[in-house]
Amino acid sequence: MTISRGAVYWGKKLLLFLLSVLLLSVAVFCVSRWAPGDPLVSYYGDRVEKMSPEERAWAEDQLGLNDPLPVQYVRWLTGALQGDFGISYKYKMDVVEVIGSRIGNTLILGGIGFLLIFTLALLLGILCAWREDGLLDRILCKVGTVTSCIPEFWLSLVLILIFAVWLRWLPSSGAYSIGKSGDLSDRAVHLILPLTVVVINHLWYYAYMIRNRILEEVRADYVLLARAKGLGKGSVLFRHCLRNAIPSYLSIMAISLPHVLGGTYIVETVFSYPGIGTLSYESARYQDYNLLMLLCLLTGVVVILCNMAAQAINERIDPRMRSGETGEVTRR
Amino acid sequence: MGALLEVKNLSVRFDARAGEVQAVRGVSFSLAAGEVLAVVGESGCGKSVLCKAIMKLLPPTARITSGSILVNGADITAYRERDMRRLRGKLFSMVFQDPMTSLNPTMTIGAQIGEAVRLHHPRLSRGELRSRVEELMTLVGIDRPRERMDLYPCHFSGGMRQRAVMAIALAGEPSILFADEPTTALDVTIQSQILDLLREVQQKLGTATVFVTHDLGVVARVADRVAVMYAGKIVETGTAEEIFYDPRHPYTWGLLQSLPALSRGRDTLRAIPGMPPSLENPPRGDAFACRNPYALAIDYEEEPPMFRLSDTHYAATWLLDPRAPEVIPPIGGGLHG
Amino acid sequence: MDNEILLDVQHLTHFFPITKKIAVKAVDDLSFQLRRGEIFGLVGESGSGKSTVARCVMNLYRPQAGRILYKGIDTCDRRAFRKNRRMLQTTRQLIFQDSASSLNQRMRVCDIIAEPMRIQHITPPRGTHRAEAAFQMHYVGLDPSFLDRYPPELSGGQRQRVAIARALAMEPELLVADEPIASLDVSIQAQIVNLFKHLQQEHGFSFLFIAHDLAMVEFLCDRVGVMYHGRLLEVAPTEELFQHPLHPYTKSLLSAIPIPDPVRERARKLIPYEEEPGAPRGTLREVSPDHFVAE
Repeated sequence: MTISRGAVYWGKKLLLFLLSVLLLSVAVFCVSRWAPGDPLVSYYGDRVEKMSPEERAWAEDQLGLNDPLPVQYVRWLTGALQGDFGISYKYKMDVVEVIGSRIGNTLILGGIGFLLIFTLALLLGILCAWREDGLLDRILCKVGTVTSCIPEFWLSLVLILIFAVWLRWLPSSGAYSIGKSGDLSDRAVHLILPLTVVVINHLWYYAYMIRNRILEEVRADYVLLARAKGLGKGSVLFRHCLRNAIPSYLSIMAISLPHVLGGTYIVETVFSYPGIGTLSYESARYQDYNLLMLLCLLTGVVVILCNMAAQAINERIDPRMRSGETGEVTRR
Repeated sequence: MGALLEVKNLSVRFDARAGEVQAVRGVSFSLAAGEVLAVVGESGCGKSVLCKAIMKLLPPTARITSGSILVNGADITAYRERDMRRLRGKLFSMVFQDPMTSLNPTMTIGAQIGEAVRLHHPRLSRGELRSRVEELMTLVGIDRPRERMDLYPCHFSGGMRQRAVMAIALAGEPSILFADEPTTALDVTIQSQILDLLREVQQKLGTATVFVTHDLGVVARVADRVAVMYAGKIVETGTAEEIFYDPRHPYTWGLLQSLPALSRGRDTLRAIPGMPPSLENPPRGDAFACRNPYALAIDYEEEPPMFRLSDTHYAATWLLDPRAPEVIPPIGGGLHG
Repeated sequence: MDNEILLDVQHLTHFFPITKKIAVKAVDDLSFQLRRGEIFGLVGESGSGKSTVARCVMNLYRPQAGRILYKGIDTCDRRAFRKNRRMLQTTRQLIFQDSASSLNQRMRVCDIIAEPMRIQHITPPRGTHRAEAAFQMHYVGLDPSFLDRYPPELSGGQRQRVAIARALAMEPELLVADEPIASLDVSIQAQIVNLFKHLQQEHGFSFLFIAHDLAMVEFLCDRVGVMYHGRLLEVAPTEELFQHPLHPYTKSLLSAIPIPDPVRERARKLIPYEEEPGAPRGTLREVSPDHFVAE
């Protein structure tokens, strides 16, 4: 039986994906073990300082930290393949559960942030391209350059200072007020500041990109032909230029999803927002090995998937890439 | 019969970093319905700027500084973008040099032609639209149109693409077609076919055509009249016969002489020496003087006026002044002479 | 002109693979010879494989089959190429069609012209690299004031002259010109063609001149080969080919040349050429002295 071409294609992709994930797990595993720090601190807290050497050795043995690295890795891998990623030293819970309780918050912040950036950048880009070199375009370009250069943590602190400390309009940290985890409006209020930081930081970069992509298209010859046949500026922009610019924008956005995600990690930490970002930070700081492993793998999988999506979009963009043949050779 | 298009003393300037470029300097011509006018000149002489200025397709750095454009007697010089949009495609349309880049690579040929059709007949049904597209594709000589309208430009050869561009340009049944070097990027055989197609379309639909090219050799087939442009000005204009058999301007002589077909049996081609002048600071007097072996002293001082040779034939050279010395044209009479 | 054969292309074949199974035959069993001091024109429509031949001759592509002998050295043979690398790289030079993209935009004209000398560690005969560049520019008719300019500041004709000056700086014996005039104005084309003719007559350069413009080919070349779909259909001395074309495709090509004469041009009829599908692949046969045609 012959295997279809599509199956081979996707088979290759899947293999590559699994290989990348495996390599990533090895790398994260080694780096986390080699990093200085005491994993016992996260498990036993301050009591570690009062432990006798025998007690320490016993505790380390309990956690399997005395075996050579390869053995530890293989043990982790066998567990992971069976769905057991170990327990978090700090929370004394299955890491999957720990992450499960936090991931929703990150998805809300990152997802809303990403969608906002995506649509606002598109709109701003189109607006600037439409009025190229106009007052609005120039102002937005200048303001955007400045805002995208402000570091996220600093901007977060400034916003907290203004809106939470001085004006007291908005909460400075957390995802919801204590006891109000089900209250949507309360959650929304808590989201305002972190979202603002995420959006302000990334928005301009992508808006500028779409602006330039559209302008590149506007300069193309076919635009002249489209105008010569009587199309108005709007139709040319939306029907021709945008149509050609959007696929590449989509692929860029797919690649940049992890970038935005990375931004939310920092923002989460500053706002003590109980999401994956804060969790990653804590787990790295306290040598919470199992938690760190799964978090890194999860992030890695998202990055790899995004890149694959971008590649797939790129292959779809062009009718020239879509068809297998060289095209019709016509002679008359 | 009145002129369909009349351009009077048109000047176009570009803002450049170093200053102002006077791309078109006081050009006047007229075009009758159903006529083919060839505008010939070297690159940078302003021939394509002239066409784009008439259709108002120039970039924002360009502006018309003087002159007027009359279409059917109506002055459109001051028309704004909105008014121009109504004229484009219907009154005049344009075909560009490079068929590789003048089609949108991500839209099917049929969609691109259909878009142009829909602009002029917004109420057509899908089926009617398709049959109109098919009709246009047949008109420009694309066979098997039904299958090919769903293909993308990358599936078409250069000649086919240029035919598709023609179909787009003709969708609104324009009275005037500007063809800006439509054959320059094509092979000789394809070039010949496109020239025949232009002629055929012009005869079938009665579309007046302004054919812009740098190659005087290709216009003999299609042109009724020829205008030779140099440094932003028309230096000689006449019927095709007058230009090829009785050219009067030294620049026209130069263009004809540099054609290899007229240098057969010679050791070297008689090329025009030097380069066209920069149009940022056009030289005083006749811009062609420094490349002109027949230049007179007055050429460096004063611009020659248009001398009338016949009702259709005009040339701007001091050699036609009664006081000028007699010069025997080095060329003329076509291949017979 | 002596009859020494400078370049001997034998059964050259080159494919471009599209997928593992499908390939486009760009050049298909092509043979021709170029004599020392002659200008050999290779004509054909776009996609006929002319440029691929030029690139194979210059060792830019490695042909799948066939041999290219330059001065008796098989340039496709890796060992022979390595042994004669310096000679091969200095005595053969290539000029591209589009000098706007084939010259580095960010290099000054004098550096562009002197670069091959620097790469090959050739001591400039006129003292400095700059003086050598100035000399070559003077030779191709460019003002020395362009020495410190950049390619985008020059016109198409001037850029093409820079490309020629760069090639001449190596004092080559074979110049391969791939559509060197196609992107230029007719009046400038004439200047460049005159320059080529001068180079051949005064200095005995040999040219492989690739073009689709038959009118210029007729004027410039000594012998012409007509290519179609990767094959040579007819090879003959220029006058013979233009007076007595034998292959129907050659006739079709010749019928497409515009005539600068309104009366005759309007009467000119284009002879169409359709290759019969499944027609036998002809081999070149000599029908009269030096006139070969595929049958």
